Amino acid sequence: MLRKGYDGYLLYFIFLDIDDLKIKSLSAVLLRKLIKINDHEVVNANYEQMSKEYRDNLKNNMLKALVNEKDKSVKMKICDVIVMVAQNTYECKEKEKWDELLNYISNTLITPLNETNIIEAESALNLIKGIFSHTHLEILKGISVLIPVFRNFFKTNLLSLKTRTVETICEIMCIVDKSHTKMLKEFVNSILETTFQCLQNGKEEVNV
Amino acid sequence: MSTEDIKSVAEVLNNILQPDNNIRKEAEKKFEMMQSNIPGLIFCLGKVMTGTYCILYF
Repeated sequence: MLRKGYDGYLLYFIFLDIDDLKIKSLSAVLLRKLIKINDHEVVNANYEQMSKEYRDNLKNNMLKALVNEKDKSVKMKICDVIVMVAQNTYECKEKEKWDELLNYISNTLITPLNETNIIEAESALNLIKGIFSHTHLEILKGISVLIPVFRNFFKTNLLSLKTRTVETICEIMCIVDKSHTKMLKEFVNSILETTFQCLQNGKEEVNV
Repeated sequence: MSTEDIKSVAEVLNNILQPDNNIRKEAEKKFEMMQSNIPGLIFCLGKVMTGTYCILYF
């Protein structure tokens, strides 16, 4: 049986081999539910009880899981867990930061897009969308870097990537002030075009 | 926490995914019981997700 406690652990390194995507996927969904912030909460009760070391370990493990995962569906579910961890992190009374997450996002997005890192780019967009309301001040510092990235993504013929870009821009536009909205104005046509493509290609939209 | 704990969580998850009603219900009961130790469960789920390497001993 599992023993109790968020504190007082030692670290050991061993190997396990759990490669079943369905199990990984279910694990991510259940983990997200366990740390989900309910309507009456500011921070999830389970997260609140964790020690700083435990939280840091959870964050590191989730980022490792994200980096190592190759399957798109599992990767996106890991993103959902990370977003939930991040929301707890930013809302907890200690007002913690998670610089490694922001570094991961920015490093992923500034890496030139090629056939092998499309899923990474999509996961980074997914993360921005999920955490933007909590970290907009920090993310907006890099808006001049983000805009060429979005421009580049819209130039591709990857509907899934373009759809995520639209979602991310829409999330940003919902929160930022007028001056930043103006900077994103150039994407209006691309957003409309992508929306139209999604309507034309229902199947791909479902897969996003 | 031990590798056995992580393996048992992975096994429960695997059984939750089984089409057989009895196996699934039994696994769901076990998962409910595991929630008596949320920190351990969160840790094990994280490990199952990563596939993976470092183990915490409480």
